[in-house]
Order: sequence, then C-alpha cells, then structure tokens
Amino acid sequence: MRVAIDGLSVFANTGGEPHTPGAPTIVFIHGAAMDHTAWTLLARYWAKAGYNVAAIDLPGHGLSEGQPLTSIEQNAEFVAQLLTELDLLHDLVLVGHSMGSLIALECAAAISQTRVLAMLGTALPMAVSKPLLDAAQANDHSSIDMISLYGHSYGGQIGGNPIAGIHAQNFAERLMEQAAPGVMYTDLNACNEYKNGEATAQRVECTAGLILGELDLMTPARSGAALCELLPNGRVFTLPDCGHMMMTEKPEETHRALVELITGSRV
Amino acid sequence: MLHAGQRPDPATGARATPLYQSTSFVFDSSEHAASLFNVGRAGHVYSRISNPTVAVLEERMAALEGGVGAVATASGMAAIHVAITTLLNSGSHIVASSALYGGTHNLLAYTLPRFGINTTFVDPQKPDEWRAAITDDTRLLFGEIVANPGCEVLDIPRIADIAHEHAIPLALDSTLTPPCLIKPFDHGADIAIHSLTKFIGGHGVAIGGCVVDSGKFDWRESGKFAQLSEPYEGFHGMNFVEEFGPAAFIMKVRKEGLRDFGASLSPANAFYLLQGCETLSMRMERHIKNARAVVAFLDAHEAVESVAYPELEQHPDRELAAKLLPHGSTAVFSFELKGGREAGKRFIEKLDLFSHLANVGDAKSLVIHPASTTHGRMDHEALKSAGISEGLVRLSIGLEDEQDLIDDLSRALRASQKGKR
Repeated sequence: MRVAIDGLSVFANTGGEPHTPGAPTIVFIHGAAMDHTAWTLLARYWAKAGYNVAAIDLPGHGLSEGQPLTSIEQNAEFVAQLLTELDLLHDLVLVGHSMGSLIALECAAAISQTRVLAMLGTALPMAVSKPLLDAAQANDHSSIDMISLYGHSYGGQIGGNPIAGIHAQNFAERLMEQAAPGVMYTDLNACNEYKNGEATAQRVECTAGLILGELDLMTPARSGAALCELLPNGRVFTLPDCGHMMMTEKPEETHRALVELITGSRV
Repeated sequence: MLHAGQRPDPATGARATPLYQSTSFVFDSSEHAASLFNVGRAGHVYSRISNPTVAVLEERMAALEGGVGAVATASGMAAIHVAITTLLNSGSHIVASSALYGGTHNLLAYTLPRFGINTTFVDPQKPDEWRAAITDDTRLLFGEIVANPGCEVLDIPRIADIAHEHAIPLALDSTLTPPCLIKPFDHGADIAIHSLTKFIGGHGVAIGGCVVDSGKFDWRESGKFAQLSEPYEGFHGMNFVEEFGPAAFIMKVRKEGLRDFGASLSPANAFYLLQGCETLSMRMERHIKNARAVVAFLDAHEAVESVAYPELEQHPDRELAAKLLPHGSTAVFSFELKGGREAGKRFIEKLDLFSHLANVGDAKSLVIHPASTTHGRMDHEALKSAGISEGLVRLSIGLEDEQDLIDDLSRALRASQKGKR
C-alpha cells in the first residue's frame, strides 16, 4: 500500500492481505540500505494470522520516495507518523532488524499501544567500523561486500537455504546495490551516532524479545544480551549457527522465535 | 563453490548431499501447510515445485554464476522454455542470435510462433542488427556466448547495453562456457541458462537444465513486465516485484513455471549432476588444455582446411575471446576437413577414441559430422545457408590424455584423405 507522508509517497507491504479495522498490527522495519523484501515470508505469515501488516520502506528506501533520514530518532518519528496515518496505533507489535531494531526501540518507548517489541540482529551501541563507514560514504561497493561477508555466518555463506533455489548472500547484495547513492552511509551513520539507546530501553514497558544470531559479527550476541538487561521485560532468543541476516539465513528459526515471543506458543 | 548450497546433513551427518527421492513432504500442522502454500514459511511441499536435493544444485548454480537464485529444470530446453514463458505473452517478440543450438532454433522459429511468440533472428556479430530488430513488443534478447559452428564470441557488454537501452533483459545460454570460464552477469547479462547435461554434469548420465537470475534487472522500472510488477491472480494476487524484489523473476519461474508446466528436474538427476558439479573447475582446466592441444594439432594438419577456435590468430573474435574468456573459450569447436562429405564419413568411421554421437561436454571426447548425420538430408546449397559445409566436423574434447586424442585424430585424418581425388 501507498501512503502520502509530508507530500511523499511511502510504501508499506501488507503481506498480501488488506487491513482489517481493529485487528492487531505488526510493523516490520528493515535495516541499513535494505527494504521491505527482507520481511516477505514473515509479512505474509502474520497477515494470514490475522494481523494488519506494515512492512515499511523507510524514506529513500525500496519503493518509498524521499531522502533517507539522518537519525534513528527521525526514523522513529516517521514510523509513528505513518502508523497514525494508517490508523494502526493499537495492539502493536514492532519488529526491527539491525538499524530497524533501534528505530523499533525508540517507537516502543514512545508508543504506549506497543504490546511486543522484537529486536533482531541488534546491539547497543551499534557502532560501525570506520572502514565500513568510509567505504559507504564513498559509495564504494566494498561497503556492500563487507556487510555481505560479515553479515552472514560461515554456514550462511555456504548456503543450504530452506527457501529453495535462493542464494541468501547474493540476494542481500543485490538489495543493497539497489539503494541510491548515500543511503547506505546515511543509515550506517545514524546507527553509529545513536546515543539514546540505554535510556530509551529502560523506558520500554512492553514485552521485548531480542532475536540474536549466535555467530553474528556485526551485532554480536553478547552485546544484544547486554541490551536485554536494560529492558524491563526483555528476553533473548539465540539462534544457533546464525549470523546477522537471520531472516534469510535461518528463516524457520527466526519465525519460530517470533511466534513464541508474540503468542507465547512454541511451534 | 565446491560446498555451496550444502552443509553436512543435520539429521544424519552425511557429508555428501543426500538424495531426497520423495515426491512430497509432511506438514507439521494444517497451519504449517497453509503457510507453505501462501509463501509465509520456507520449506518444501511437492517435488515438482521444489525438492531438497534439487535445491542444493540450484543454490550451487546461483553461487557459481553470482545470481540471486536458480531453478533447475528437466533439461536445458526446459530451462529456455520456462524462462521465455515466464517473461513473454502471446504477441511478445524475441530478438535472438541466428547462431543457436538447433533445438533452441526449433523452439523459437517453429514452436513458439504457434503460441503467438515470434522471433527475429540476427547476425550475433552485428550489434546494429540486434538494435534494428527490436520492436515495441520485444521482451527478450537471447543468444549463446560461443556460437556453433564458427565459435563466434558474443560481445556480451555491447548486446547487454542494447537490451538495457530498450528496458529489455538479455538472456544467454552459457552451456558451452560454464561459470569457471565466464560469469555472464559480470558482463551485463541478466539471465543465464545452462544445459546441465553438458560440462556441469560432465559424465553424460543425467539430463538437466537450469535458469539463473542475476537479480539485477529492474522489472518495475522497465514497465514492460506486468506479469511480474502487477498483482497476478494466478498466485494469490501476488505482485512478485513487490514481494521478492531482486528475486522476482526466479520466484515466478518456480511458482508459475514449475507449477504449471512441470518440467522439473528429478532429485536423482540432481544428485548425479551435483557429483559432476563438484569437479567442474578441475575438469574444465583439463578440457581447455586438451582442446588447445587438439586445436594446435588440427590447425597445422595438411588434411584440415580450417579450424574455428576463438584463440587462434586468424579467428575474427580473438581479442574479444581474450577479454571475455581469459580462462579458455570452450572445448567444443568445429573444423573443416578437406575432401567434403565423403572424407567426413571416412574420418568419423576411423576414429576409435572419439565417440560418434549427438552430445557435447562429456568427460569422453565426442565427434559428429553434421553433413552425414544431423543435416544429412540437406543438399549442398541448403547446408551452405545453414552455415555448415560438407566437410565440417564438430568435436567436443574430453578429459582423456591429449596425446591419445591426437593419435586417434591423426589416424582418422590420414584415412579421410585416402581415395581423395
């Protein structure tokens, strides 16, 4: 679906189902230089499960117009504005990956209707190495190469994708290559500059879950676990043998963790 | 790449890819079943659509080519067919190289027109012909990287530019130039197609094919592929570009093409092809080494009129081959025998090591004399218009000892010239 926000056309994938007034809402927020297609399986699952799904393309990403926003807080304000516009501010589940997890954290602290916060591939602080930032600032392909390499575990690079025939690492690279010049740097810099995380985390009242890759080199699981200590109602799901890109590396395990977090049931 | 797509089996510890010879896969629950059908979870349902053994081969081919994904098919021709039918509708048009494998030519020239898909054939060496043949209905440019029988090399970057200027993808049959020789996506191609039967398998025991998607073509921006960029009633009203982004094309190949046409690769054949795939790069080195030795021998032989091989000084595409195919052009090529059709027959009959059959890319060296076999009903003029002379012989150089190959050829060449007037 498309929504006009501040005169810009913004896209959100609904998971193949129209929204139903009053139904619970699940919002998916992508990571740096990514877009809504990172969430396709999960979006379709939760749409069939009776949720209003909004897998958002942040400004300047995917099918949304505009320029990328320069801070995590600005992105969180944008998400809140979008949810208001879509009349989705009730019984809310917020799911974010990497940069999107920080945006979801800010939203969860600010939006009282949030029932569950899921932070995937997350850490505090989310420091970005200088070589990666420099490469991204120069719009050099090596920034994509670095994220592709460090974003996937060794096993993830070898493959064995349960989504038949899809090469997860090459898919991630193509997705990042599609981002306009400057998007990667703006996003990574927003992560690197984000300083409010600790204070924000302590204000999150809803159930929170951190879904972490055991072998994540970009947002190491131990950093995510430390963040969990700050969340009043937080718990950790560690995905064995998994790197940073859990939605494509371990789609079934990510799905199961999310179902358990949101519904309390094991699948 | 040797490992791509497969890790030791978590259930048994098996190091080799297990053969999942099963038509179907049990659902955990009715919700699991519904989710798999709705593409809400990852997994296998029915082996016409996907299978764990076949999926390893598909992911390995995607890795080898640098694509976002691949779909394996029952044959190379099935791969070409499903790529075309995924992208084109009745009324759509293809611009294709005139130097294609005969089976592909039949599909494009005779079969697809019955379904309203027409092809204009152009000289692959003349970019202006490609450009001039494109119409408002053109939806695909199609060619082979190294053509038969002249081993002409396609200027991929140039033809890709022409395709992209018109917002059309370029699909290439890369069967004779497997990924260790060239990666077509690095040069601008959008879709790569293989007959896996040939060099990828290498053993000549299994027929198979695959389509690989680079993930680089912008189907939405093109505006010419509504079947990918608009809701499709045939699959949950799905908009493939919105749902799968860079993988839109290859997902539709599977979700529609395999579902409706059903030309899937069997798990057993995938298993065989994976065995070959594991030694591909080592075998290709040997194929190329042997091919170069045989080419040098033939080029200097008095019974040989000419040899068409892109690495030879006299070949018109030598520079292009050096640029695009620095690791070797191919191991399938043709040469012109002195003495015409009769000499060709005598030559074939005297070969011992070379197998006389209609295949290429086998571990064993192969030979065919088109004028007395595949094109045997054609007279001199008809052969000429097909670009085939009466003395043309096609070789597929295998993995045998190169001196054994040369000795065999030497005997047969001598015999071919006996009785010559």
